[in-house]
Amino acid sequence: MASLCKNCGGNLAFSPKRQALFCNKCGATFKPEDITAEAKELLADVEAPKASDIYGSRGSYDCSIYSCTQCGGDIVINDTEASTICVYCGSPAVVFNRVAKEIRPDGIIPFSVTKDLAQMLIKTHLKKGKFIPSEIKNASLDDIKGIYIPYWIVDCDFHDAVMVKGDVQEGKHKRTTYFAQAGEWTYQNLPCNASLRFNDNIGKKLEPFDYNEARDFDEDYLTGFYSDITDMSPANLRSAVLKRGDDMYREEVIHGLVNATKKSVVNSSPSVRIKEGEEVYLMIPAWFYTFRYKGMPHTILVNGQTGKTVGAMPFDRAKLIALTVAIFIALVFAGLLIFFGPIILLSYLFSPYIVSGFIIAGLTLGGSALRRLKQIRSNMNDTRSGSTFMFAKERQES
Amino acid sequence: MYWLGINFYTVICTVSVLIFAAGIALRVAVSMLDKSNNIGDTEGCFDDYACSFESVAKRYDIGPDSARKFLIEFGDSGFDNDDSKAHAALRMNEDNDIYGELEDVDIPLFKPL
Repeated sequence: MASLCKNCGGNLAFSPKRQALFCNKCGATFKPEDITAEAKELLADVEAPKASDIYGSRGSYDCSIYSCTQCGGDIVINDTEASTICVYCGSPAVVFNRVAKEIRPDGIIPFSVTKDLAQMLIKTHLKKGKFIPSEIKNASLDDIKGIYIPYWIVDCDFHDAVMVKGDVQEGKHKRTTYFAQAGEWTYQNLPCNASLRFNDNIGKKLEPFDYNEARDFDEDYLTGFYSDITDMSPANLRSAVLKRGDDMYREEVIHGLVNATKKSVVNSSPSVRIKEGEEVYLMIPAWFYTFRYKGMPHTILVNGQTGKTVGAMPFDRAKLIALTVAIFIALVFAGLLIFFGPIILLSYLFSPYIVSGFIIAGLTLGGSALRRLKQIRSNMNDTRSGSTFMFAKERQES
Repeated sequence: MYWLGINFYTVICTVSVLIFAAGIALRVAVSMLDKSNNIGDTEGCFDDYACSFESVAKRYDIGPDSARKFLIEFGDSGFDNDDSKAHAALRMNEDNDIYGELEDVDIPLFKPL
């Protein structure tokens, strides 16, 4: 199930450091394009049995059983996996007929961030985090997996109309009013996650990708990594593009309204026409590190091309409260020292307007802090997404 | 005005300063939390992928009914429908519109050989 070394017959796996296929046995390197079809162990004629046929219907899930050609061990692959690693001998395994015959990707961005670098990037971020619990900081990071995620890159014509509600200042009062904006444009190279199992929100945070480094697809790039093929129908793709395009336009319209506050989109009416024949099916690299903290699943991702690290970490609530109280006490203490007792000064110098100003400023600062905290917790929901966790976890582990 | 022997205005002034200090403290703490724990919180936006802007219609400071009518008039062009009213309305619109071209996206589309 993997290309073999011409010299010694060992399994070849793609090395991000060398940007070539590497033989662990003899140390030889080969470019994927140099591997001929005869050297590949094609499984075109082999149909793997379903797990339920072998193990019975108890606790079964959609998967097929292949035999590892190196050790003969069972390799369990679900309906969307295209490559994995044998749990018994660690050999890479690619389901060639799945990517050769079912839905063949047009291209692939090979991993250029090695496993060691991904671990170092994650560790650096975790170490810098003052509020990250120490048990997460000190974790070993061994359970990190390189996974190719299927993506559709599309060009499309987009039409959208958005209705926004906001508050405008009129003298001393605020008035609620509406804004509307419509337009037609083209989205170019719009990436859309092509796996229904992978969370869209966290996928968007892995961007941007440099498509200049994309290469024509070759199964050998998958060796040594996990990968999935797309399970999206054309209708799913259209819905995904529509949602992505509409979300971005809504943000653009909101951002453009500078004279209003408390802006929110009330409604929108998007439509899309994907330019047929120009969709590109691309495999995108990402490293996934999964762990559990207080029973909740968490995933940190690293863009396998650029090294961008993504993930909102759980925080130590006690530390946050302690820091807030410490800053508060420091400010009040500084006020006492500087003004020789704010109570005495306040009574003689502060007019009602200044007092109101302090209250409004304090409430505004506090309100924006709480909104930001809500945003952080919302980002944590994406990192804590069970689907992202299972996307990475439900794979054979070497 | 006194309450329990304390000048009431002094109490209000002190409370206002404490509220201000609490607001600053919370803002600073949450900013530090954001930098510490919220890793990689950026994603591709409209400017990264949009180009060839054909036409725009904008309405500022209108009532909810006008906004709803705008949405009906200019929304959901239904690209497959050649007689789309929304598509035509946008092209014919002359009030408050700004025509312009967005720069092409500077990322070449990967085309397999």
